Amino acid sequence: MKDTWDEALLDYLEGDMSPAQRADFVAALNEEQLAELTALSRSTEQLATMPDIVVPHTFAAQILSRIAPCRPGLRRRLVMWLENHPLLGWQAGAFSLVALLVVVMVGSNPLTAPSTIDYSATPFAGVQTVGLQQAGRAHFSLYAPQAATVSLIGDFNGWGSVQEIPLRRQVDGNWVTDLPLPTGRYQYAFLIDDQTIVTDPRAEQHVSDDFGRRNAVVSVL
Amino acid sequence: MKRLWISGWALWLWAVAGALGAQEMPTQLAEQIARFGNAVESKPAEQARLVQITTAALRAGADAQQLEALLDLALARRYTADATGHFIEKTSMLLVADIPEGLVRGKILEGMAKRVPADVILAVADTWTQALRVQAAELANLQQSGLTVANANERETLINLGTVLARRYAMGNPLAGLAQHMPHPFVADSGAQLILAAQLLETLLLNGASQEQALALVETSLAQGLSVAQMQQLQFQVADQLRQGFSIPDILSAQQKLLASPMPATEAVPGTLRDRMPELLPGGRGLPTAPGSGLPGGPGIGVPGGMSMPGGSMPGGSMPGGLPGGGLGDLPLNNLSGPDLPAL
Repeated sequence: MKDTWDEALLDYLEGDMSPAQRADFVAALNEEQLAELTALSRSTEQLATMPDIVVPHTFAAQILSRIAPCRPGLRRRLVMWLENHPLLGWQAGAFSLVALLVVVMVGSNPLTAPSTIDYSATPFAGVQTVGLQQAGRAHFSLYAPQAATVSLIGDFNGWGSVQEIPLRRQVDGNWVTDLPLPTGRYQYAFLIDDQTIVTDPRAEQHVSDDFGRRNAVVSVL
Repeated sequence: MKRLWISGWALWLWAVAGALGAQEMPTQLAEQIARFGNAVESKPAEQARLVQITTAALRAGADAQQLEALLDLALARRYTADATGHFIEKTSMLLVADIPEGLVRGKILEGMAKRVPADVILAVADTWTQALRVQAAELANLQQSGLTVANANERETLINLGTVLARRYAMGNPLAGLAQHMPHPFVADSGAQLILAAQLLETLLLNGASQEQALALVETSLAQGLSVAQMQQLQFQVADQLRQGFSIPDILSAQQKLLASPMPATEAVPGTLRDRMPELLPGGRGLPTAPGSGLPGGPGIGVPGGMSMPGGSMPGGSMPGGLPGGGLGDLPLNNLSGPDLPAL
C-alpha cells in the first residue's frame, strides 16, 4: 500500500498523470495525504524555480583542499587515553559517576530547577493570539518577534485578495490589529513575511480547511 | 512552431478586443487579464480561453471586482492561465445554475492564498459544488411543500447553511431534517426560522456538541413553534453562555429545561430567558451578568448570504450564514445582507 501511494505520489508530482487521473487521485486522498501532497507540491514548485548551478570540474578538489586533516573525535580520544591509563581510567569513571549524581540531585530540586521554558527564542513558536470579543470588533494579535511583516487573511477579505490587513508591531514582539466586522463567523489565518501561513492556535474554534490544514474560527457578536 | 505562437497571440488579442468591443468586459478587468497574460507563462491558446471564460462569467452575472481579485491572487501566486480559467469556470457554472457561488469562490481564493496545487483546489471546489447542488434541490423541494423563503438572500443563506452542515458534519439532509420538526403548515416566516435553527445547530456542533445533543435542542425549539425573535434570543443565549465558558452539556440541559417550561406566546422579552438561567443551571450556578448590560434580544446583523466588502461582495463568512448569536437580528428579514465592512 505504501509503495502504491509513493508511486502514485511520484507520478502526480512528476506530471506523469493525465488531467483525469490527477483529478481522481486528488479526490481519493484523505486529509493527511492531501497535506503531504500539498507540501510536496510546494517544495517541487520551489525547487523548479531555483537556478541551475554549473559545478566546476575542480569542485571536488576545492572541497577536499578545505577539509582539515582528520582528527579523532573526543570520544575516541578518551577511549584511547583510558586504554593507555587503565588505573586512572577507573578513578576518572568513579569521579564522573559521583559528579553525575550530584548534577541529577541538584537538577531535580524544585528550588534550583528552571520552572519555565523560554520559547521566545524559537521563531514563531510562541504564536499567541487573542480573538476578539467586543461587539462588532475583533482583536487579533500574534507573537512573532522575528517577523518582518504580519497580515491577516480570512474569508472577510477574500483571503487577502480584496484588501490587505496588516498587523502593527508592538515593542514586545506582538503584532496586533483591531478589525471592525459585522456580526458573523469567520475563518482566518496569519500570513508572516508574505510566505508563511500560521493558524492561530488559541482561536475559539478550528475547522478543517479542506486542504489538509486547519483554519481558526472567530465569532463576532 | 513560431507560426502557432503568433496565431495564438492573435487569437487572444482578438478575444480581448472582441470582449471589449461588445462592452462585456470592463476596461479594468481587461487590463488585468492583459497583465496576467504578460506575467504568467501560459500558452496563448490558454490565455485566449481565459478571456472567453471571464467574459462568460461576466455574462452569467459574476462581479467584475471579484474576478479582478481572483486574477490578482492568481497572478501573485503564479497560477497558470489554464488553472485560473478553471477556477473562474467553477464559479460561473454555479451562477448559471442559479446556485450561490460564494462558498466555492471563497474556497478557491483560500486555496490560492495558501499556494495549494490547482488540482487540489479544483477537487475541493467540486466537492462543495456538488453539495451546493444537492442542498439547492433540497430547498426547492421544501419550498414546494410550503416553506416560505422571503427573498434571494434567505435562499442563499439556507443553501449555504445546509451545505456546511452536510459537508462539515456529515448530515444527510439537514434542511429537510430540521423542517420536519416545524409546525405544519409552514408559517409566513418559516424560512427565517429555519435559518436561525440551522445557525444554532452549527454553533452547537462547532463547539463540540454531538449531533444527537445539538439536534435535540434545535428540534425541540422548532417543534414548539418559537417565533423568529424567540429563536434569535435562544441563539444569542447559547452563544453568550459558550463565551462565558459553560460546558455544552450544561448549556443544553439548561436550555431544554427552559423550553420545557411554559413559554410566553408573544415575542420574547429580552432578558427573560437569562433571568431564569441561574436556577436552571446545574448546581444552582448563576450566569455572571455583564456589567450593566444584560443581554439585548439579539443585536445581530445578518451576514448570511454574503457581506459587502469594499471591492465586492465576499462569500458569507467562512460558514455562510453561520451567525453565532445575532442571526437575523434587528434587520427586517427581507434585508439579510450585512452592512458594508468599514474601511480598514
